This record gives sequence, C-alpha cells and structure tokens, in this order.
Amino acid sequence: MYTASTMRPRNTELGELLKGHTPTLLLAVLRDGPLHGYAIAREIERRSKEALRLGEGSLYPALRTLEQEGLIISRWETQPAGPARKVYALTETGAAELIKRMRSWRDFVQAIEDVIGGIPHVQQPTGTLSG
Amino acid sequence: MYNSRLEHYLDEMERPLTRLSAETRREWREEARQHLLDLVAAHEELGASPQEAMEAALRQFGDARQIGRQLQRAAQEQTMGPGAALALFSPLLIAAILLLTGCAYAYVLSGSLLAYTVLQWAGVGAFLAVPILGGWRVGRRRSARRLGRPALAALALPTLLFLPIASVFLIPMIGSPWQGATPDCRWGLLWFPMAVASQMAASYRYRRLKSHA
Repeated sequence: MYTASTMRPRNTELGELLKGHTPTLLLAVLRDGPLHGYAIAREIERRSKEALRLGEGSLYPALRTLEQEGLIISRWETQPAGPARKVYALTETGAAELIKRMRSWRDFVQAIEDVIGGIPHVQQPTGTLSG
Repeated sequence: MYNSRLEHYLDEMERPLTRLSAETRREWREEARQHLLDLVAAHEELGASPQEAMEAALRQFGDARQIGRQLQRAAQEQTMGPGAALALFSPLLIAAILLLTGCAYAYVLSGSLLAYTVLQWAGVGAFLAVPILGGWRVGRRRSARRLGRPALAALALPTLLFLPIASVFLIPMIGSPWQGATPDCRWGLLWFPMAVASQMAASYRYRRLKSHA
C-alpha cells in the first residue's frame, strides 16, 4: 500500500554528511554515461541502496555550477517517446576532476578511520552505578 | 487542479530567477516540469492517487522558493552583472578614449579642427559603446569563470598602453603634468589611476568568483 513516507529520506545523518559532496556524486554517476536530472537522482538512490536521497530540486543548481565550471555539458535530446529532455554528460576535465575528488575522499575516509578505528564490539553493562 | 498545482509550484520556483534570460527560465521550467512529472508517475505506480502523487512529488523535489534562490545564486556566479562587467571592460574603454583623444590632440597640433572634432566625438562614442556592448552584453552572457585570467591579462594590456600613448601625445604637449595643462589633459592624467583601479576591481571580482568555485 502506498504511504507518503515511501520515498522520504531514511537517514537524516547521512543527509548531513552528504552536504558538500553532492558535486562529487553527480560527477560519479555521470561517469557511466549521459543522464537527465531525474535519472541522476534515481541512480544515486540505486547505487547507495536508497541510503542517499537528495532534495531533487537542489540537484539543478549543483548541475548548473558544474556546467559553468566546464566539468559537465548539457544538451536537449529528443526522445523516441515523449518530449525532449536535457541530458548531462561528463567532460574530460570533469573526468579528471572526479579522479581528483575520489582520491581526496578516500584520503579523508582513511584519515577518519585511522582516528575512530573499527566499530567496537558492544558489551552488556556489567553493573550499575548506585549512589 | 492537478496541473494548476504544478504550474503554481513552478511559478514560485521561477520567481527569484530575475537574472536569467527568458529563454533560460523557460528551459529550466521545462526541465523541472519533466522531472516532477516523472516523480508523479513513480508515486502513482506505487499506488498513490494523482493528487497524493503530485503532493509527494513536490515535497520530494523540495521547497520551490529555496530552489529558485539556489538557482539564482548559481546564475549570479555565472554572470558578472553590469557593475563587475563594466569594471572588467573599463581598461579597454579607457584605452579607447586615450587613443582617440590623444590622436585628436595630435591633430589639433597640426591645425586640423575638423579632425579634432570628429575624433573627439568618436571618443564620446567609444565611451558609450564599449561599456554598453562590451561590458553589459558580453559580460552578462559569458561565464565569469570561463572568461578567466587570460582574458583579464589581455584586458590589462590597454592599461599598460597608457604609458606610450601618454608619452607620445600628452606629456610633450602639456609639459609638466599640472602646469599649463588644459582641463582635458588634466582629466587625461587621471585616466591612468582610474584604469589601474578598475583593473584591480575586476581582478578582485575574479578572485572572489574563483574562491566560490
């Protein structure tokens, strides 16, 4: 049965962590080929196993910025069925930038992991404090 | 009802986009509409009624005004705006005036009043045309980041051209800078600091745009 929560974000903490990394995600999903805005949003959801869900309207300002930086290009494509759609594709500069950002991200993740370590084994409390 | 809700939402989103051309706004609206209709269809496939699907799609797309403002900010970064464009192109403007008025004074020295008048009016024409055509139109339509440092360097050349122009046309004619100079020549001597100031303003604007990248 349909409920309004069916397509809401599942994890707001991930949403917070996502801030600032949207351009990298956009470049990454465009690496495999040109996509339109709706398909980009679905691809991010699919790859993240629905953990990452963006405010979909906010994809477009990010796409516009990437386009003006020359990292992606856009064009209107006629569809076999339905109206023409604007699709975005990675440029060579964008592909190089993606590699750079991926390296930075991995360095960052590695550094954080080095600090926080692995997930600790959760132990049952052995006693309680009493006054 | 279904369509009017969508159109109202798109209107709200479009409202802040005052600095985008009508064509860009139309394209953006079409792109957003298609995305929203895809979302509506997806929600309907999951069992929502058309009205529920529309509301869920709009919620998922985000706050219309906020998206509009984000797009507007992106557009502001993309285009320089008239002030910055004028600053960027003013070295060119100043060089054009210098060249024309410098030539005009040379003709005055040779005694041709007609040439002086024609060239003075050409100077006025350049004064109006360069910022309007170069600064306003080109500056608003081209990406500020793509214009980039090479273009700024190229535009700095006219500023540097002041020195040979001044040494050839202005300084020999007026002797010491302020003694015995005509009012036009005194203003002419102010063009150099003006050119430097405008170039600095343009460079500052460029650095700010780059730091926002």
